[in-house]
Amino acid sequence: MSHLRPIDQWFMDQILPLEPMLLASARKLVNDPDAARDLVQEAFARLLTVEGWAQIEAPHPYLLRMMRNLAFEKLRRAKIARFEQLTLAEDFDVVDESPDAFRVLSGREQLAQLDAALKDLPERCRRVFVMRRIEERSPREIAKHLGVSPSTLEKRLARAHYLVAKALAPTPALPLEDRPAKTDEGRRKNSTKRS
Amino acid sequence: MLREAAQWLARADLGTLDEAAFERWRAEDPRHALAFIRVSEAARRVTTDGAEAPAVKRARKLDPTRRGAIAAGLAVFSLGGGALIAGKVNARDRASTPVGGMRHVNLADAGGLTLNTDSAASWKADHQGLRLWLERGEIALDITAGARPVHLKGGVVGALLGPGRYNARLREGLLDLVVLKGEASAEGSNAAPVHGPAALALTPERPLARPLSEQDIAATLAWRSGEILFVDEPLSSAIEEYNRHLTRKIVLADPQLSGLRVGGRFVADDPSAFLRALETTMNVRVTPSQQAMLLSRKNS
Repeated sequence: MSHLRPIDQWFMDQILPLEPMLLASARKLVNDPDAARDLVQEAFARLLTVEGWAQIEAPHPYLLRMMRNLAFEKLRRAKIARFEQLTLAEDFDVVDESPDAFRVLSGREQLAQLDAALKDLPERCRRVFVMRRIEERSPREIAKHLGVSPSTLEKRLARAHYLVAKALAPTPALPLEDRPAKTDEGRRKNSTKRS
Repeated sequence: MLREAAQWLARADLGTLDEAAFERWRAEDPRHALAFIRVSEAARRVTTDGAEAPAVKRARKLDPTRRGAIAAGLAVFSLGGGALIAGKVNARDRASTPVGGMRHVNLADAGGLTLNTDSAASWKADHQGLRLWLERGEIALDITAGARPVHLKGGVVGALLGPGRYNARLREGLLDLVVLKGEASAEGSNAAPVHGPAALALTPERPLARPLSEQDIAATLAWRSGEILFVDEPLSSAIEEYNRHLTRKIVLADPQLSGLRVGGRFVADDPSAFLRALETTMNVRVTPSQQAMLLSRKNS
């Protein structure tokens, strides 16, 4: 039984894969990695409250615009604005149009990362995770097999989930080679409608 | 927040979730919902996408119970008996292709055989039906309806194939069999046959069945029309795939590039579009040399 709503499923399929690219873009708006992470996180949280999420056809430019607005909001509130960042933000929401046949989907060595995420878990947590998630054994069977109480089982599995999620936290995509900026206004407006 | 979300997910996994309390927590703050999405996706990736990763493979192998393995999506067959002794080599018909080649062969009334680049196969019909040996590379096999089952051998393993459509590829001692349509059973096994669409990795230890995604099927079919299809593949394996078709190989001069993910459909015997796409959309420089095409990073 899944506890994922349609919006969660959509978010996993359409939005999370964009995160490395969004993080890279966020670095153009804010000047440290933590702030970039926060900015993306904030845009994500806001997107999850958008009523018409299912109608968003081009989430990438949508999110970039959202991030820029959020960054501007922050800058306006900040005591000292950083002018150089405002200029950098020109043309920010224009998504680099790679040929459809080819795009960078995410960072490097994903498999190694997945492998490490599991391998680096503390042994006791890994056993529970593997038995439940990979071998799909029943909680009762696992508790009996390991000789632990249900609450210990829950603690270990929760810790495993937490550490796995932390280990798989996305990193910014490698910057693409600079290409001539597209300044055509019409195209920019259309970009949200492009599927 | 991630910690809290992990807690909820663990409860959901163990069937101890208080649904109402969870829904309240999730609705409280979109960041809660986001954290729950993140832990769910991370667990899914490690479990599903990571199935090829060594840690998961090991975890699966460690499992001593048949039940556990079946639950993990693997079919376990007991591989009784030794390997069959192959028929007389000199009595077989044989076909092969050079690098970059492709060839179609009719197998009398059994069906047809297509050899991919750098491949070789031999076959022989006897009273038991058709026996087919994949000696090198990859073949596509169509077995006509009503024909007798075909014995396919690759290395030390084999399978019995009913009428249908198959793709078989030999790699490092294992025979990767894709059942697009039809019914296949691993040789020496008394387990239930596998029905397409599904894939069967035949290893000397035991055959492993896995379900097929639409993408797997599309990628498997692509080469028959002279194309190569990559779906979110690491650059290193995309290149390995491409090099099977090329005499002038593509070489990754910078190992750091190997993990870049690539996707697209390309012409198998001409890598120029593939290389151009790499150069224009990624941080990759292509330097042609006499024997190879070298890929390195552009200066960033």
